[in-house]
Amino acid sequence: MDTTEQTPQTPVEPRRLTRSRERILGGVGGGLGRYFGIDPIIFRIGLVALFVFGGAGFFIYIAALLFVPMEGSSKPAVGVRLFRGDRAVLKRFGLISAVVVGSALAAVGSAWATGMGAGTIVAAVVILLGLALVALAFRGGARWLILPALAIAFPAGVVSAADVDLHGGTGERQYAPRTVSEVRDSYRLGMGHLEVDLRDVRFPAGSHPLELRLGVGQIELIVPKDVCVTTKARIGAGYVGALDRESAGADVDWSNEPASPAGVPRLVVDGDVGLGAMMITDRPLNADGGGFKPGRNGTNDACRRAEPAR
Amino acid sequence: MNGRSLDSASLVAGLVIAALGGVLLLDGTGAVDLRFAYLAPAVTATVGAILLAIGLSRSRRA
Repeated sequence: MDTTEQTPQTPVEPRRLTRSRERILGGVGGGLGRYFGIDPIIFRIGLVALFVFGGAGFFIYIAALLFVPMEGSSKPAVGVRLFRGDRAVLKRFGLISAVVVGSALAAVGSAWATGMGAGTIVAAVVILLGLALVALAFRGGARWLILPALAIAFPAGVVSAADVDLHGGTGERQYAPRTVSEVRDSYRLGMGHLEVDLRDVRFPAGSHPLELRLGVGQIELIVPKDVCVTTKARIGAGYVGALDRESAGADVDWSNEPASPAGVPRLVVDGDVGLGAMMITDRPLNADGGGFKPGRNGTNDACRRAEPAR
Repeated sequence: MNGRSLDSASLVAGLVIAALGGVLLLDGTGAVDLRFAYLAPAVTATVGAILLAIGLSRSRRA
């Protein structure tokens, strides 16, 4: 007779990657942390870093949301059910897609309308959406409305803060006047690349005001070397480089107004860019590659030429 | 009464979004000059308040 006791064998479940219910967003970081036995914060920081530097973190996160099942769920992952044609998932996916695509379109429309001067109407729409959310909160809530409301509000805020004016058309504009009489007082573009090449113009002594207006994009002003350039620039967010000076950031109000000696022509530039860059140079930016560098693209020596020796 | 419960996340989101719309309206009418120095904290506070409200309502449900 065999008296050996047999201990019951409990089946060992294979380790399975699932999303964690102790989550911040979709439980991806938490699930990865539990699977590898590491603090989830490591994966969360890694995903955010991958999102910021290159954007891969976003796609990895979406893929994990779709194809990694939720912890404790007996159903396959959403992505798998989607490919199998599960009606409930298809309906939910369709609704989410509609909200996301609608929000993206609303964001573009909001930015465009605000830039075209309809900022008060967009603001009124944002207020109405906010009030609708408040009213619907007492009837169970309407969280799906939060994303479209923010998608309308934030671009309108950015365009308003940058004072972007999209009047004046879009695209590439190049002007190369040959005489002083051909030089306009003002050049304007809504969105795109505005190039004004004044190298062929022989400016007489005295002040010559020049106004440059751009909503979004880049202004390239090419000036003759014998002209003293003074610059006033307002950049909502972006960069300004004027011959041997530069400044960058948000809410840039910048000026460089050297005193010009008598008998030297003076170009008085007043630039306004909503989002983008304004560069004043003595040669085309793409002439030697590398873009704008203060000092390499002109030194504004005409302002110092006739200064008395010290 | 319809018996439906109050969704505090929608309420908070609605209030902060309406406030943000108010700021945009004041800028549009020229009453204030909105700049990034004011917009950036306003946007951060808006998103923060909404995420906080969603998180708190989720933990209350749990």
